Amino acid sequence: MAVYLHGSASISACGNSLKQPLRFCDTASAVCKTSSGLTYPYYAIPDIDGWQSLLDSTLQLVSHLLEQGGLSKRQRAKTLLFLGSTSLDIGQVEVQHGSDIWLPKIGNLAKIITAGSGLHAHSLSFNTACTASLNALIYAQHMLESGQAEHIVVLGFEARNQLTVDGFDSLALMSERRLVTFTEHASGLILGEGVGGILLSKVKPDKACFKLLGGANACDITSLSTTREDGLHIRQVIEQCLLQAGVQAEEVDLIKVHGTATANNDSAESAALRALYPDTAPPVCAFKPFTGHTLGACGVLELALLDGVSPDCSIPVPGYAESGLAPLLMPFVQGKSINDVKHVLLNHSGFGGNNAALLLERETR
Amino acid sequence: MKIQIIAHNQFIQPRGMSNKALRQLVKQRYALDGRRQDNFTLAGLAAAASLRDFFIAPGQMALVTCAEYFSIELVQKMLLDLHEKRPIGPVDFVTTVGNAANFFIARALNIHAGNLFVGVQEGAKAQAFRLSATHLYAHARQYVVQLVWEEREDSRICHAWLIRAVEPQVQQIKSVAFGDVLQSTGLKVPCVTVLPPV
Repeated sequence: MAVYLHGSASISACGNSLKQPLRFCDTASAVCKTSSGLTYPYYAIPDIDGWQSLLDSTLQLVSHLLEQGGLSKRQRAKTLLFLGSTSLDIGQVEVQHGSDIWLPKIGNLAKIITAGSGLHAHSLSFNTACTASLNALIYAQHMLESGQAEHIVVLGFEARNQLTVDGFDSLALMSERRLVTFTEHASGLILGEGVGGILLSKVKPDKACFKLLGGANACDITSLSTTREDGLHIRQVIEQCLLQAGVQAEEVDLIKVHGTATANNDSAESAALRALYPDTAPPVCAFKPFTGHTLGACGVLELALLDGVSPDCSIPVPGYAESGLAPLLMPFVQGKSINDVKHVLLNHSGFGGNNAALLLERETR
Repeated sequence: MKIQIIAHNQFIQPRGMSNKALRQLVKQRYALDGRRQDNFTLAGLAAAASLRDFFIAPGQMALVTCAEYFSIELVQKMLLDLHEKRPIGPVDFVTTVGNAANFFIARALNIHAGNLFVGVQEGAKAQAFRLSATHLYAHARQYVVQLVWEEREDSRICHAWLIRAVEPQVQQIKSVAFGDVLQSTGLKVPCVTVLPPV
C-alpha cells in the first residue's frame, strides 16, 4: 500500500512557493545574534516580519494545500494535522514569576492552525528534534493506510527564536562561514526558519506525484546529542525503511541527505551510505545549503522543496558541489529533473538519538 | 485489528519531590541509574520500569510517549535563564528536546525499535493509544511501551502501558470505540481489548 502527495508548499529562505518561483541561493542572507552578542549567518524567510506574519503565511499555506486537494468543508473538518517542529511557539512564551505552570501546552501551535484552517481539532505535534516532521510523514502514511483518516496535512514548522540560537551557540555547532555539507570543508550548521506543508491521501491523484512507500525510525541510545559516528545506526534505519517500502538499495535513484554540515552528522551519514553502497552509490542532493537547518521542520520542508522543483528544471545543487573546488564526501546529483528519478530516499537524524528514513516513488500520471 | 494491554502501571510524583529524592527512589526500587535526568524523565522511567518483566527482544520493543506539556521544570528554568540573560548550558539545551526523555528511557530499558514523542493539547491517553495502534499496524510483531504524562497541580502522573497487536492479519483498523474518551474524538479509532496480564 502507499499514500500520495496531493499537494505541497513551502515558505523558506528559498521564498514563498505560493507567491513566486523558488530561488535556490546557497548563501545565507541574514544574521542572528546570541544573547552574548555573537553574530552568525542565518537563513531568514524574505518578506516575513515576525511571528504573526509567519503564522498568517502558514495558515495561507494550509488553505492552499486544502484547495489543491479539492477538499470540501466537511472533508476538511475530518482532515488531521500532524505537525513536526522542534521549538514550536517557544519564542512567544511570556516568562512569569510566582506561578507553577506558565508554559503553554505542546499542542498550542497545532490548535491555532487547526482552528484557523477548519481542520479536525485532534492534532499531533511530533517533537523528536530534527526528525520531527519526517516522523510525522511516516506515521501519517501508517494512519492513512490503516483507514483511520482520509486526508492528513503534515506540516514542518520552525520559527526564529532566541533559545534556539543561544542553545546551538552553547553546543558550538554553528558555522561563521557557509553551510557546505557533504564536503571535507564543512565547518558547522547555519540555522534557518521555514514552513513546509504536504497533503497526503490514499487516493491516487490525476497528475505526476510522489508516493510514500514506507519509512522507519529508531533511537540510537549511544548519545543524547550525536549518533554513532561509524553510521551503523543510520544504516540500520535505512535498511528497515527499504524493507518497509519493499525496495532494494540498488533501486534508489537519489538520496536526499540530512546534511547539516556538522562534523558528526556528515561523517556518520556518509559512512552509513558508503557501507550501504560499497561499490557505487546513487547521487545525493541536499537542501540545507539553500534553507539553513530548519530543525524539526526540515523533513517536510525539504520534501516540499523537492516536490516544488519544476520538472523542467534540474534538481538544485549548491555552487560548491558544482565547482569542484571542495572535495565532496559523496557525488551530488547533476542535471537531473524530478521526473528522471523513480525512487528517492530521505534521511534525517536528530538529537535524542532519533534517526529516521523515508522512501518515495515518483509516479507518472 | 485488536491490541492487547499486557501490563499497566502508573507512577505518581508529588510536585515538591526533589530530583535527588526521585533519583534515589528509582535507584532503590528499580536498580536504574537516573543521573543527569530531570523529574519528567525519572517519572517516566519509574512508570515503565516495572513492565520490563514482559519485554521481548530489544529490537522488537518500541517506545511511544505522549504529553500535554514538556518537562515543565526544565523548560521553564531555561526560559527564565534566557530572560535573565544567563548563559544556556549545552547539556540543559539538548535535554529540553521533547524526545530527550525517550532517549534516557530507551537506553535504561534497552528499547531499540521505533521511538516517538508527541505532544497534544488534550486527550493525551486517547491520542497515545491511537498512535501506538498505528505503530502496531505497521509493525505487527513488536511490543509498544506507551507512556503518558499528566500534570496536576500537586503532582505529576506518568501512566505506562505495554501493548501488542493480537489480530495483525486484519488489514484495517476498525471503528470500534475505546470508552468515551476515544469516541468523543469523532474519528475512526482502533479497537482496544483489555485482557488480563499474561
